[in-house]
Amino acid sequence: MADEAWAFASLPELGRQLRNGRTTSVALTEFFLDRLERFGERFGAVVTITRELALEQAKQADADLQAGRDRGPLHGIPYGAKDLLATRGIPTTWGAAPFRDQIIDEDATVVVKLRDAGAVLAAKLSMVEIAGGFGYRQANASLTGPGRCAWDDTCWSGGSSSGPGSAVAAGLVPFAIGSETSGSIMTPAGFNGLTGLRPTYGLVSRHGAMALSWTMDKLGPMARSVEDAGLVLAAIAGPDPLDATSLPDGYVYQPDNVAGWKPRIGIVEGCLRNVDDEVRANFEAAVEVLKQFAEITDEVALPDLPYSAVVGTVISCEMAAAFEEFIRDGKVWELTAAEDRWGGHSTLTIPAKDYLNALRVRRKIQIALDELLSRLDALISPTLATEAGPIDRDFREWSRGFATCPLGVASNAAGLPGITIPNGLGARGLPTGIQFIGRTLTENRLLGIAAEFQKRTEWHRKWPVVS
Amino acid sequence: MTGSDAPPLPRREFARALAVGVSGCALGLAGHPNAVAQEPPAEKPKLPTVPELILTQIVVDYPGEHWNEDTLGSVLGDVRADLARGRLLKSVPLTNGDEPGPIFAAYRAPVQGQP
Repeated sequence: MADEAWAFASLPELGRQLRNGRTTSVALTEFFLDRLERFGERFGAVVTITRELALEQAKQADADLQAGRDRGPLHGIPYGAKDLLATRGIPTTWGAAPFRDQIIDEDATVVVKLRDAGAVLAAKLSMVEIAGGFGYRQANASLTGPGRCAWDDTCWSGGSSSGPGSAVAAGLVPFAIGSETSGSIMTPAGFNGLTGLRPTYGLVSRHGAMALSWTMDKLGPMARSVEDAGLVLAAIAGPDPLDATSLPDGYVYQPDNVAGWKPRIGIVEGCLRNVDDEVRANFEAAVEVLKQFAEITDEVALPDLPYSAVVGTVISCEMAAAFEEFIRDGKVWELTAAEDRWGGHSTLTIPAKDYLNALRVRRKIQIALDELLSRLDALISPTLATEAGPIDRDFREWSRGFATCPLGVASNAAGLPGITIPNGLGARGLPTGIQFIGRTLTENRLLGIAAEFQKRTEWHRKWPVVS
Repeated sequence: MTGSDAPPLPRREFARALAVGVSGCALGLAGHPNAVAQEPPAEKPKLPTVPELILTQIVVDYPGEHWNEDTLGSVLGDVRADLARGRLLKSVPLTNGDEPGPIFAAYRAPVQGQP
């Protein structure tokens, strides 16, 4: 395999190269470290390159393979972690200037699990400061500057997992771990043409991840195909005594096989009303592909509930508790985006009854969506209303509100799994995506449907020229 | 009329009042027995709105040099949005039996050597 082809190779392909002796983990790691060093800054994708640790882990991975200790599909493969995951001895900045020197003296559970799986931590990747909780309205909201789209570095990479989005799409790492409170995996995955998987709340331990909202935060893979995302999820999922909300269910990557089974897929009512023409056309073309193996129901109405009010209230109140001291000691005024500096203050006074009412309505959302999804295998909509927009303009000028319908916010409120995959290119040649949302713990069903789509299309094999 | 529906105090005026520390009227100090007697105002002063009272609480609780008309105005907008969300939540019919999801459970530390 030519060196440059490594940049966009799948995880199984990289694994084969390692096991048949055509490369080593050290060589692979050097290759990706070099790309991170050459292109990381251009995309605003990197906070810290962990060269020393990476080479140490890669040497261990090579030694283990030689000794017959194969740790599985991620063995010897480099990855990047969103810089809200604690890593012992390495700064964990949460994307925020006031935390640029913060060192947390432990590894997040996902970092431990990936190390146990033989993966090699190559970089801490950039993110919107404090995972976007303070209300940023434009791309320049991180201590590393705006995250730039891998396909066009004048455009935004999406947030808040900006670095994972552009780094994976630009071939700087084979996969990355992102986080989502409400949209932070799906948005950068969508803008960069990635396969982004937001697991069921609690399937992946949050221990060691910055808490923006304890009951909303999820960690998940950002990868270049459904198969890669599933393999990464299998490595990071599972119960964790250090996270009281982690589910007892483990996870094995066994995507449902659509042969002999016709998935029932519902298109969310109104999801094409406020989207770019190309987003609409690509979605309609994707539906035609889905019709080849699935039963499609048009215009499925979501239950009439105030999803945004619930999510906004829950995140605001939990964030207020988590970051009250940060606001009180005035560090908040050192954030990069002006609007982030005062954006958290009002959350400090939201009445407790509003928070509890949000949780009560949230329960109704969970029950209503579960009932709806008991009759469907997935709900779908375009992932985003537009392609990535220019980094120097207020989001309100180009994003159409990002979401195409309340599906994303509703499913985040309910803790449901979702996956976004690329389905085409927009007018400016940037990726568009389609998202699938399923019932609690139906990751393998969603992965099965999305994998079948990727078997029949090539969009997940198209990558930007990065040189 | 609820407090949030009351006529708003002009933001500039409110910012100035905060800056010179006379927002005490909003906190009820104007009627304090030790308050210095002043000429009766020509017209009844407008009461601050609920969002303005909340803004006062924020500025008093989190003082700093960064408060100015722009930042105060932005936070006031956020406060109004937060209150609007609370009203929207109340539009969903909830009965006494509608509990939040399981956010709390009894806890006992595991005993070493026992499952």
